[in-house]
Amino acid sequence: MQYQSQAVAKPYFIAALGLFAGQILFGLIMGLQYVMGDFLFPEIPFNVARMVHTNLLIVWLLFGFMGAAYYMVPEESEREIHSPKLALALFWIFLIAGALTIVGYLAVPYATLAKITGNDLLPTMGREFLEQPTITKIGIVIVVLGFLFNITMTVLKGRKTVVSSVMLIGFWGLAIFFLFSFYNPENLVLDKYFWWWVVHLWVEGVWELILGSILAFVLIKVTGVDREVIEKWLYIIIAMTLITGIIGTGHHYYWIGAPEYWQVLGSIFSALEPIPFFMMAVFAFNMVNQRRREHPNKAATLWALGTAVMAFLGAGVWGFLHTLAPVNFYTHGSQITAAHGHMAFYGAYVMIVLCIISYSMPLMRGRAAANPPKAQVVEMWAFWVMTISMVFITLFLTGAGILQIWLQRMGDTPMSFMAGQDQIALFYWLREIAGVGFLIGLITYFISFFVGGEEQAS
Amino acid sequence: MNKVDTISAPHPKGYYPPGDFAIWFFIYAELLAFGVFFVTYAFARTYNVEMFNASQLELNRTAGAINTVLLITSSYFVIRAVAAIREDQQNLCVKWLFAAIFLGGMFLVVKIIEFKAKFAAGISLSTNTFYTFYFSMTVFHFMHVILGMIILGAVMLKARRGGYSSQEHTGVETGASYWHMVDLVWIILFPLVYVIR
Amino acid sequence: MLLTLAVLFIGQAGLGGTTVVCILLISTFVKTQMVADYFMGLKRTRLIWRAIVTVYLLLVMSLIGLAYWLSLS
Repeated sequence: MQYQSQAVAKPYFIAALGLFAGQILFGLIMGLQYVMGDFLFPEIPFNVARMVHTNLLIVWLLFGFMGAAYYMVPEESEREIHSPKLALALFWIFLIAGALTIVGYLAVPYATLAKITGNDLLPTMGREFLEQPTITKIGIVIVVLGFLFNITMTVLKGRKTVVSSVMLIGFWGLAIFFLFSFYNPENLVLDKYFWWWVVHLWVEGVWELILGSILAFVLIKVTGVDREVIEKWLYIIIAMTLITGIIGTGHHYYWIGAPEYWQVLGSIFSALEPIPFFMMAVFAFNMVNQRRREHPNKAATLWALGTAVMAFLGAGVWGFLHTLAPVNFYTHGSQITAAHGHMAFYGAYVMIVLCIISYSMPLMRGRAAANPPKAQVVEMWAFWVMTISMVFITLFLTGAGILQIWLQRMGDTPMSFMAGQDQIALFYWLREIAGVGFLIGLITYFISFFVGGEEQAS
Repeated sequence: MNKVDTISAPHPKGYYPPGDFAIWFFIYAELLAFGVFFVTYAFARTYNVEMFNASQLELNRTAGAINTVLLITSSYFVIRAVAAIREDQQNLCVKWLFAAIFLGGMFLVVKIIEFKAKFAAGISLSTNTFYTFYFSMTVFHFMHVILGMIILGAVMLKARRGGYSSQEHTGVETGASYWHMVDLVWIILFPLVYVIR
Repeated sequence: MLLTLAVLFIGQAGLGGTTVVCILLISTFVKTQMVADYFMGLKRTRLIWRAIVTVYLLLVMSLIGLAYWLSLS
């Protein structure tokens, strides 16, 4: 660790991983509820489990991204963070606010939560992924603004690099688009229209910039390839991301009442969204092949390559599968979407956060350049178990989706939704088993942090 | 010399295309994007040929043709600029680049006049499928002309400061390659959207 | 340049039909290949870089041609 203040990333990463574990537990509960509808009812109804599962994902990824920024920016800017105290204070505010929100979800019915938190004054609740009470949303804005101030000041005062600039643009975009979560028009079409400005422009826009910059940072460190080469790639990747991703928003506007031309624009531009992911995969492998040093942290390199490949598969290929309007006419909102969502989030965002954690944690824990080989082996096992489990989750959900569409949406006498669901229960059972596999991978991952500590002294 | 150097430094002639190799990745990706557009247009047309043909006749082909000439000439000027820098004639290179950017600007002016006429006639993205394509493709291309001009402008500024020489002029070639791509795409777009029926 | 003027002429004359579509597509192909070869300088590089463009152009042109042929027949 070159700068003292980089250490503020540590609590962020630990919190991220803790919440990650929570997300997986709720995923498993929900997966079981797919096949055993009354499991844990009425304590944790399906809709609450789903809300907790998705909200935890978003919050822990934000923790991970912020941690990554606090770790990377000092090294990129070649100076200490503007205010490490502010970073720590924001950490606690964010963690407590996040925890209280989750407790709120679990402890009281959603309608009561809305009443307690004064949703009447500024109604923002009740929309998928943006279920947080208005005060939590305001809290998120405060935390993100404080974070942006902290990071921007650091970057402005220090060395300016492409990596830190791209990251900064990503975070500013993240903050700006989140503001649309406060805009909640009465008109349902308008509501959905702008809802996607948060959801789509986050995950298929500005988050990809953050992903690209973290990946570039780790690759610079572990491969020793010239910064100029890596930055050039980063430029064209983010250019392609923005060209395809922004107008690609149209692939959410097909059937919600938006103008018809979105079917053309959405189909064409989102069909091209795999290109930046493909470039990312080519880029990662090229850089690793051209490495100029053998970095001892093999695990971080594996995560970097893994994220490039899985992001391309999950976001690129599985996204393309159902993005064209004529296809989406049938697949819209089916289990295909769930399959895509799982692999895309894991491949693009979970793995990149685990990648930067894998790279930076050993340094923050004072272990030379990397974890001892024994720990790395365990971590790599965890990588494969989690990744393969996720591939199976995706495949089973895809199977479920195809069958669902076939039974429920095609033919002369389509089945009703619930009748169709009963027919695909087998796939849901298989998915749940794969989910348990994922949990085992995650536990293995946690164990890897406590392996080989005794070799530290040598 | 290992592979990394060959990508970032001026490479032995012939092995990689002129300019920075990364831009070629971008160029091929952009070509793919436009290609998808062109083919989708052609197939969308098969569903409603009469409407496409009728709307196509409303377009201003003269403006389109003028723009084709402008872009091709501009591309030629960029060639001159690259030739000039290879001979170490920096001032000449800057002049040719300026001429090329100027013609790019003229292209934008003609295009804006064309768009204005269409909007004045109450035609928009939602008028019909033909116009959805017409506006999407031409505006998408329009943005690329602007991007190309920005790139050429940056190259020109660096050239003016004496940033390039006959030894090191990858930047000029990079900008030039991108600009030619913008030209190439328009050469397909013009007959396809304005003429072929 | 001459080709472009010819294209404009064909356009203004409002011609249509298989032959004209073919002529236009082929002329477009020739023009774009020329841009790639001489402007972009791909003629002086390894075959692969030029081939990518050629294959791309052939593919796009023939698909467009196919679509037009479908609508004519």
